[in-house]
This record gives sequence, structure tokens and C-alpha cells, in this order.
Amino acid sequence: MSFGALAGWQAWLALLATAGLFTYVFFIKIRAPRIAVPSLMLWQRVLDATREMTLWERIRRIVSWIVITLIGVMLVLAVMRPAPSVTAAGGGRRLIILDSSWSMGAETSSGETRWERAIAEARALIQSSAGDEVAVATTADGLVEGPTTDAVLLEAALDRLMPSGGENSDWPRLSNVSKVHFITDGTLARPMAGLEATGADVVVQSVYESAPNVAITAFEVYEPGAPEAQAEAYLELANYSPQKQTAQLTVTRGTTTVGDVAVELAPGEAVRQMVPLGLTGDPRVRARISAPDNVLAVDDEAVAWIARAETLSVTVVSAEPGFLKVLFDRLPGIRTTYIAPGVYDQPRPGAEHVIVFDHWVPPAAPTKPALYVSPMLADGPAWIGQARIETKPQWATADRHAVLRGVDPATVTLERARSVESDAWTPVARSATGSPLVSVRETTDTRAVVLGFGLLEAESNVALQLSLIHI
Amino acid sequence: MAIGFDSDFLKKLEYLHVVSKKAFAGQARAERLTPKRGRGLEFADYRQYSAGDDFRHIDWKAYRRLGRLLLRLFDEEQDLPIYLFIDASQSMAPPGQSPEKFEQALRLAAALCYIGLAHLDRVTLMPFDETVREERSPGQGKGRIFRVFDMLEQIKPGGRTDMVAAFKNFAARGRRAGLTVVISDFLDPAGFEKPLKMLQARGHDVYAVQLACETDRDPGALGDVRFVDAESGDTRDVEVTPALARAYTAAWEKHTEDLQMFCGRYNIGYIRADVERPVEEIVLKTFRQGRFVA
Repeated sequence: MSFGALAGWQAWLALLATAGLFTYVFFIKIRAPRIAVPSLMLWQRVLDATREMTLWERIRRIVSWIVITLIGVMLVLAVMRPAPSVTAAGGGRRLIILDSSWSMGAETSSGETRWERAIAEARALIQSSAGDEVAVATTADGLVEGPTTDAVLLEAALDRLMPSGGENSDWPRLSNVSKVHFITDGTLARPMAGLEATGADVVVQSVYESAPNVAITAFEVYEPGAPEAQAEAYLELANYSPQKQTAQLTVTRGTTTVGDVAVELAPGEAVRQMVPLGLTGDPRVRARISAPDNVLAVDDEAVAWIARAETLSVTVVSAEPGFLKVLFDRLPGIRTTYIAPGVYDQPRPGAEHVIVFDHWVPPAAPTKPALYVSPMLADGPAWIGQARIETKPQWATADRHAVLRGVDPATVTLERARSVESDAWTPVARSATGSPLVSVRETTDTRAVVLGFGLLEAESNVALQLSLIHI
Repeated sequence: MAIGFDSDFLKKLEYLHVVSKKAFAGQARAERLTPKRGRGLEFADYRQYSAGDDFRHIDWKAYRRLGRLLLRLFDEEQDLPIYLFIDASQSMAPPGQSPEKFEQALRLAAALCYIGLAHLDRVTLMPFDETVREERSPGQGKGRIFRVFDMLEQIKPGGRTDMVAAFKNFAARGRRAGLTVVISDFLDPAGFEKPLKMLQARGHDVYAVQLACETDRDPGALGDVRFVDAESGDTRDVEVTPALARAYTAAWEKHTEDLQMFCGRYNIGYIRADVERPVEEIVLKTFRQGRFVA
């Protein structure tokens, strides 16, 4: 038997304490009003005469006590949400799926977010499932950890998880699962039939709590074909609070504000509007909304890129850029220049925004944002650090770093990796043996990322991942 | 509490007199017939003359007819001893409640006193609780009524009811038998039967005047209540349900009925005097219907 966010012994203790409390309250003597009577003689006679009739009173009293105690116990059970265990003797397999949609970041009345509440419930489930194999998954990332009986490993996986969207993903799959716990706030628009079709016993545990929220529900930049026509931003704002709210909408291009208006939003109302962005300006467009009652921050800001305002310039340094060329040419708004490692000298000011080094490392670290794909080790410079080769590494742990958004470790296959180990680099993904697979080095202006593996099929299948664009 | 009656009511009281079912010997000449033969005006009987008799009462006409000396006897008219026992225990005025029952007892005692005084009867006020407190005799004559009022106003409620002990105390004082009126609520835990029988056994003509008020008849409050005995201070926690309230009212009615039946069985006058009724109505109507006054 599992009890929501409580361990078994805590739940039984709470039940016993509640039953005891209600019993005490039932039997406690309330100070009755004192009434002076000339004599108790007649009352004594009446009560003596009715003493034989107290059987019914006794029954009524016992029934009242039982009913009151049951009410208390049921109140506690309603809070604890008990659910039968998968197997009493252990040996079953259960899957805990966390709804990682953005709405899980909303704050509840107790100050914690729905996500934190879901994590707490997941921990309780892990603790109460001794002997069972447990796997943890999210709606965005799929299977994250397990199945395993190692509670420490599972809890470590929970520590890494964050809401990351994933509304359009499929349900995570795991064979031989006897029970699925889906912890959600109920906002995920995904048919439950897909989950129930696995044949497992599905228990939906809600962490929903009504919360006022104002959000940007849609944001897109429209670039007309004619060069003299200015770009426009399409915005959709919604008020999910039960009260009318006045939201402040600010739209900026870079550091220039192109729109700053107050929008009256009735309860449940969605407002759509177009904001002209001007003919020229920074390609970065940012929309931000603020309102008095607004518990979810993640949907208050939206960004877009006006491709025609400034094309992203990428220089790819590679001896064999064929495969990368196929990849980059398909990405819109990017102008790519391919040069050979021998031609590369130093970053050219203003020439490119990003440099990609494929299987090669320059003698000096560039000051621009850079991606190092499987840096060569034998003749690598010292600034990138020591490295070692690992064959068929298994992607085991990962931080929730932005460059890994959308990476599903369970589906990543690595043939070999050249891991970089240096104090200058921060590993954000490691193999099962602890070798860094992805490392980053960040300053306030630039970010450099090292992929310890290549994108060719002989080294990894990362090129097929949705996460490639983030990397 | 100030006791007083208007002059009309006092005038009506003067026409009444307390009816005693027995003739009692008094102390002074008055208007009541006594069992004694004496110097009254009403002829009563003859008896043989014996030496020493007052020969002025010899019936000479009978001597001429019968040749025997017969003495003419006359009824003796004396005052009637009236003992007014007033229950002054705490049950007559429970703390926190209006002392209407006790005040009614004092008013009834004052009215009976005035009737007795108006007919030169010897009235004695006997306030009691566990014992008879200081007895008070205002004297004779209706002019003493204001003294009676003063005496009654000095009586304060307090103590427990113990009629047996009180009447034993009274019996020990050796008062001559007379008309005895007990004004009480008769809520004595030891019962009312023994003390009333005790008075009757001492030769008194006993009247029981039962006082009752609304709070005696109806418990009033429903729900969890802690009842406090006004006299003993004992408490009893009771959940007063409508059924229990009805049972209490029935118990009180039975208590009253038992008292009434007991009085009827032992030839004791019984009068019920609820405090809701005015004293004038009780004295002029109920007392007369009960053959207590005429």
C-alpha cells in the first residue's frame, strides 16, 4: 500500500493519531452551562428510572463514535491518497511517469511548485516500493532512470529532472510493467488510452491546485516577402485566473522596445493581436507579459528571431564537412562557411557568429561561441585538457543543461567517445564509467561545447536526435 | 423584599377566619370554641353538683323537677394557636434565580397571619430549614400586622431542607397543639410523609401549602447541562433530551400527586399555590375552596 507523499509508517501513524484525536474529541467533556435547581431529588429519580433504557443510548453513542472516527480517518486518507502496492512481496515492476509540461512549474498555495510536489510523491512511491523494480520517466524525456531497485539511483535521477515541455511526445515505453503511476497536474493533452493500452494498472496521481496565471500562449514572427514591408509579431495572451487582470505586455527588438501596452483580460479570456516590429532593428525579438496574479513564470516570456534582420553566420572547420554540410544547409536562417583546418587561423572579427570544429582543435581557444565535435586527441593542444577514448560508452547521467534539452539518453547510441577532462570544462553528461561525454565552458558572452563523439553514424546517432539543434 | 397588602385586600381578609377541623384549648379568651367547659355564653351540658362548685350555676328549675342538684356548663371560647411553618431553605430561592417562591411563601404567611390576628388567634411564625429558626409571635389583634411584616422581612433563605429534624425540634419545645400550616415546596430528600405524620401525631390540625414555580415544573434548558443542587451544591451532568425533559415534568407531577394523595389519606389539608397566581386569588379563592378559610 502506498500513501501519496507519505511513507507507510508515516501514513499508519497519521491514521492512528487521527483516530485517537477524534476519539478524544468525541469523549471530551465540554463544560456544560450550570443551572441551579431547588433540588436534584427529582432528577435523581428520573435518571434512575431511565437507567434501564440506556441500551439504545449506548448503541447510539458507539455508532456516533465510530462514524466520527471514520470521518476523521477518511479525511486523512483523502489527503494521503492510498494506493495498493504492485506486489506485496516485491518483485514487480512499476513505472513512475512525471508530467514535465511547463504548467508543472506553477506555484501552489503552500509555496512549492506542482513539480516539487510531484517529485515528493515520486520519492514516496520509490520508498514504498521496496523489492520492486522502479523506472522513472517524464512526458518530455521519456525513460530517465531504471528499471532498478536502487532507490539512491532513482532519487538521483529525480534530482536532475525539471519541467521541460514535451507535450507532443509519446508515452514512455517499458516492458513487463505491472503498474504505472502518472503524476500530473492534468494539463497534459495526451490521450490516456495510449498508456492504458500497455495493460498495466494505471494510477493517476494529481498534483493540481487551482492557480491564477497569465501567459503568452502563442508568439510568432511574420516576415513578409517584400523588403519594404515591416515584420510583425503574432501574440496570443490568455488569462487563466478567475479574476479580471490587467497584464502589461512588452515587446522588444534587442534593447529597443517596440511595444508596451496594458491589456485587460477577463477571466478565461484569450486575446490575439499583431505587433508591428519595424523595418529595421535587432533580429532578436522578445515578448514579455506581467500581471499581479501570475504563478507561472515560464510562460511569461517568448522569443523569436527575425531571420532577414541578421543571418546566423557559422564557420565550420572540418577536413571532411560533407555530413555537416548536409545538416547545416537544412537549417533555415544560417549562412555557413566551410574551411579546412589548415586554412583556419584565428576567429575573424565580424565574420561569423559561431565556429564549429569537427574532429580538430585550434591551437588557441577562440573567443566566439564554439562547438567542438569529437576533438582529436593525439595532437590536441593543452588548453582543451586531457582526454581518453571509451568504446561504446553508455549515456548514464545528465544535467538539465540547456544544450541537452530534448536529449533522450535511452535512445542515444554511442560507438566511441573521446572524453575531455579538464577543470576548465564542466561535464553536463557522463558515461556509465564517469567519463564526460558533453562538457561546456561558459562566460557571460560566449559558450563553448565539447561533444566527446562525432556526428557520423560510425560514432553516434546524435545527428538523428531532436536535440541537435540545441547543441 | 417589602411585604404589604392594599387596604381592600386587608378588609376582605378580616371577613375570613381560619377553619380548624379540631377544637384546641387556647390561652386567653377569644372567639374560638374550645373543648373546655367554662364561662362562655353558649349552654353546653349538665353535670352533678359536687362540693366546691360555683353554686351560681346550679339549675334550680331542674332541682325542683328532679330533686337533684345539677350544675349548668357553658362552652369556653378561647384563642386558637396557629403555627405557620415557613420553609426558609435555599431551595425556596435558588442562587441565580428569582426568589419568587420564597416571596410568595412570605406573602401567604402574612395573609394567614392577618386573618388569625383579626380573630384574636395566637399566631406563631416558625421559619425552618434544618431546624426551626427563632420563632416569632406578633401577639394578638390585627394592629400587629405591620410587626408581622417586619418579622417576615427579616427571614432570609438559606440552609438545607430537613423537615423531620425541624419538626422534632418544634415538638421538643412543648407547644400546645393547634392549627399548623406548612408552607413549603416539599422538596425534602428525606420525604414529606414522615414529618407531616409527625405533626399530626402530636395532635395538630395540619395544612400543607405547596409552592411551585415554572422552573420547578419544567427543566427548561435542553442539551448538556450541569445541574447544581441549590442546597447541597451537588452537581449532576445531564444531557437533557426532550424525552428526559418530559420524564422530569412527569416526575414532578407525580411528586405533587403523591403529596396530595398523602394529605387526603391522612386528613391533612392540601393547597397548591403556584407562584404565577396572585396571593389575593390564592387566599380568597383557593384557600376557601380548600376549606382552609371561611
